[in-house]
Amino acid sequence: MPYATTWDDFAESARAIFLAHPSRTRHSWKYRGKDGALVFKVTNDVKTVKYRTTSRAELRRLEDLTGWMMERMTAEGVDDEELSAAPPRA
Amino acid sequence: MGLLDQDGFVSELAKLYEKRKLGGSVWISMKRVSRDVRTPRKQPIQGAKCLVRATDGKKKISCAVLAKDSIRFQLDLMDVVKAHTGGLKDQPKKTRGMKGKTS
Repeated sequence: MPYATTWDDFAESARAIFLAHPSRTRHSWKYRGKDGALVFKVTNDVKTVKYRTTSRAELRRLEDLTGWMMERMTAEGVDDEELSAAPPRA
Repeated sequence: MGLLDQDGFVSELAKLYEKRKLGGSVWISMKRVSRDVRTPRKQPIQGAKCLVRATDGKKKISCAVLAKDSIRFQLDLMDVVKAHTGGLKDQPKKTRGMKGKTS
């Protein structure tokens, strides 16, 4: 499946994928110490987006995206439709 | 290894990273769980949580995160990730001045 070429493309697709199917979306990343490489993957089983990096600077961006995901994934008292329609914070 | 509490998860994750420092990979994934899968239709949504999992391909650990703990957990998680991703390269410094210029 497609590797995004820039972080911004990846993050944008990742958010769209989550909002399309909040309960089916998985946000994951893999670190391989030997290669010093991080691979990010977000999928809702319909669409997938991946991004690979070897740069330390991307950790900060991972933090931002994880925060965004975490906030929505733990949002209580809303069902999926509400989460897609009105995210807790833009 | 099954479901751990958040502090247990974070410390086990650190061990997992340590073990796979020179070979292999560590995966971390998270997803939203908003209903009880054992009683799909009967159970209305009550307290959604974020299920966080990690594995090195052999050992699996997981934990559930509620909204009230999410920020603290995320900080702890990122601390461990940052501490154990030493193989990543620093951004190359911007070259300044006359480098590469011929006159």
